[in-house]
Amino acid sequence: MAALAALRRINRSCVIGSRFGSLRLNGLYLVPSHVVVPAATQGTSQALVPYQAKPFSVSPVSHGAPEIEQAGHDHVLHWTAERILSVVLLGAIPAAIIFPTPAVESILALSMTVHSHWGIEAIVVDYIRPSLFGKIIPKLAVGAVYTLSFLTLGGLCYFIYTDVGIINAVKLLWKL
Amino acid sequence: MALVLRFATRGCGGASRHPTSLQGPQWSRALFTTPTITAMNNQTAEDYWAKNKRLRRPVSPHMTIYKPQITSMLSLSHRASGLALSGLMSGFSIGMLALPGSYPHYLSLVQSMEFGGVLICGVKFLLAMPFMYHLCNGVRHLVWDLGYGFTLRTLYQTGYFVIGLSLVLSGVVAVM
Repeated sequence: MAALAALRRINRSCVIGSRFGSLRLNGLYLVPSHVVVPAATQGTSQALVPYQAKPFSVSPVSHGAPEIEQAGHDHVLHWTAERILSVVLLGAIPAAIIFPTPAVESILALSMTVHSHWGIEAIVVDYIRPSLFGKIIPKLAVGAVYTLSFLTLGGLCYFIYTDVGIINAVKLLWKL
Repeated sequence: MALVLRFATRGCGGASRHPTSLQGPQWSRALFTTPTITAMNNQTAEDYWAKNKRLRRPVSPHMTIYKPQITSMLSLSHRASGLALSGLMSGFSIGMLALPGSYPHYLSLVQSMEFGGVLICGVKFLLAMPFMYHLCNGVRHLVWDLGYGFTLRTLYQTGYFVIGLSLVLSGVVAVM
């Protein structure tokens, strides 16, 4: 536990990659604050030539999916938003059960749809990769996820306002 | 582990660099970097995947030989249950958009089929299970995101707890 805490302290002072933005390094990774100058200009020692730190990008490079590259810069914000939304959704469910009004149910519908959208998008981006499917199909797949989510939200809102509402629907189904 | 940490702390905090001997970040980097870094430094124009495809190299077994463990199986189930719930939600929402009748109408259709109590109870359990599991494991995920519960023992304990709790909650809801 102390080791973990120490690791976290180290990681906070150095840059680490996120799920989408990492350089896929194993073990401890530290970014030096300056680049090491090659040994040729200093001393005559030929003995141990260490690994030379060359400048490199900590943002994603194109060994992965292109759409991950774009998302790389925002990913921390996106990740945090996902967690906050999960907590909101966790509260929205009992709220809608206690106050089954269209307004509260709309918040439930929005939270469920966005949560589900981010989840499905993550699955699609994980498995429908350019290295397997080429360049066009992954983009189409992500577009399809957006379409599905918009349709789902539209359908849920339509259901809330013209039909019995989400919580009521579950209650009625359970009465069977 | 402690040794590595000591090197790391020294490397991160220290200002001097001695290129002729391995120290701190260089030491850990030399041991822990993957071929990805060196690949970036090479001049090869061919993509890694294209090259291996061209050479028709076989892929080592991975999914077929890795032992199923509670960690990976629960993670998979979390994703699978999320996908199933999302599919159900989208199917319901878009279905109710497309179908002409109202929800109580279709509910009465199902009611007229007069399914047995045990069957209805079973279906309710099967509907509730992915939802309860995803809910419980989702909370477990949020606890991880706060930084707690990463020791292997705790992972296994909370894992079994989540499975048990989901079964219990689904059972309670199924008989309601």
